Amino acid sequence: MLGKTIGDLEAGDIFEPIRYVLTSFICAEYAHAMEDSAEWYYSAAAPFDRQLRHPGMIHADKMRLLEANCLEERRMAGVRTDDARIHYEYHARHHSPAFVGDELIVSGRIVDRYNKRGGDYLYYELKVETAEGRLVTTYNDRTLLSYKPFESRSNANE
Amino acid sequence: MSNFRLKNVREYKVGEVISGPTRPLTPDRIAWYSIGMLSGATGTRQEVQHNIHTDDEYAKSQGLPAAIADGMHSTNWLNSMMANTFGPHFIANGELRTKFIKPTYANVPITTKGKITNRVENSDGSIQLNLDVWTEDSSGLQLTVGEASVLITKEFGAL
Repeated sequence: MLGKTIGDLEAGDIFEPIRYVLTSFICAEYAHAMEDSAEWYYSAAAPFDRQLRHPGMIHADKMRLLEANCLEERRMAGVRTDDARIHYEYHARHHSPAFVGDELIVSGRIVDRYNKRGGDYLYYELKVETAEGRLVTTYNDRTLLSYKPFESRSNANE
Repeated sequence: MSNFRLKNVREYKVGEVISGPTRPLTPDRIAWYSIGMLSGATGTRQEVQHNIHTDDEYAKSQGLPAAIADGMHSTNWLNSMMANTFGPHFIANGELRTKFIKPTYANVPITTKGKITNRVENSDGSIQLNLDVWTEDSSGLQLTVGEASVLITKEFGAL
């Protein structure tokens, strides 16, 4: 474990990678939530002839990775932290599709943690590849750790 | 059968604008994303969670004037615009970078747009397109901005 929550992460921290098998449910549920009707997210439609996941699912991979590496990071279980985080930047590069049945390995690290205009930011670097070593997505993410003014944060006196 | 609307890539020129539908980001849609994202991340169907995207009171306790849509909602509508326009080329060789420069509040109608800023024909016959992309409200105010690119290859046709 790297820390209790992502607020404990520091530049240089390396996440323990996670592995999971991409299912039809995962692909369909995410695309349906976005009202994306492209059939390839729901069935083995042309042109790939295999069901695949929505490119934005790297965000769900980030959630998986954080919860596996931070003991008290439990957003997926409905637990809120004292200070809400604000997603500030998304940057994904897609190298190949991720198909249903692929075992995916998600790894990553904290590139930087810095303060700008009173805001505490984390900058991530993530990579998704298949168990066979095929690169799927590389990703950078910038997150503001609290929207509150500093003096009103729960950890202002820490 | 996929419903992407790929046209011959040679028809795409610098300056051309692509767009997606105009849709209000209703509380229902925000809730659907909460359910779908968490279901996708866990592999089992989840319930709506109460956070700054779905709960006005909690959002206000965090210094926000009201609940705001998840930035990934706008990003994913841009992802969909790119995938629907460029099909498998974007899925296999695409890039999208977005910054959430202004909050998107519930019920604000959002339109996704992209403008081709560069087009390069490579020696192997592939074509690289770069775009500025953004979401805007009904007054034209940009809320999410960024850049995208796609490499059009012979592998998926349309060359």
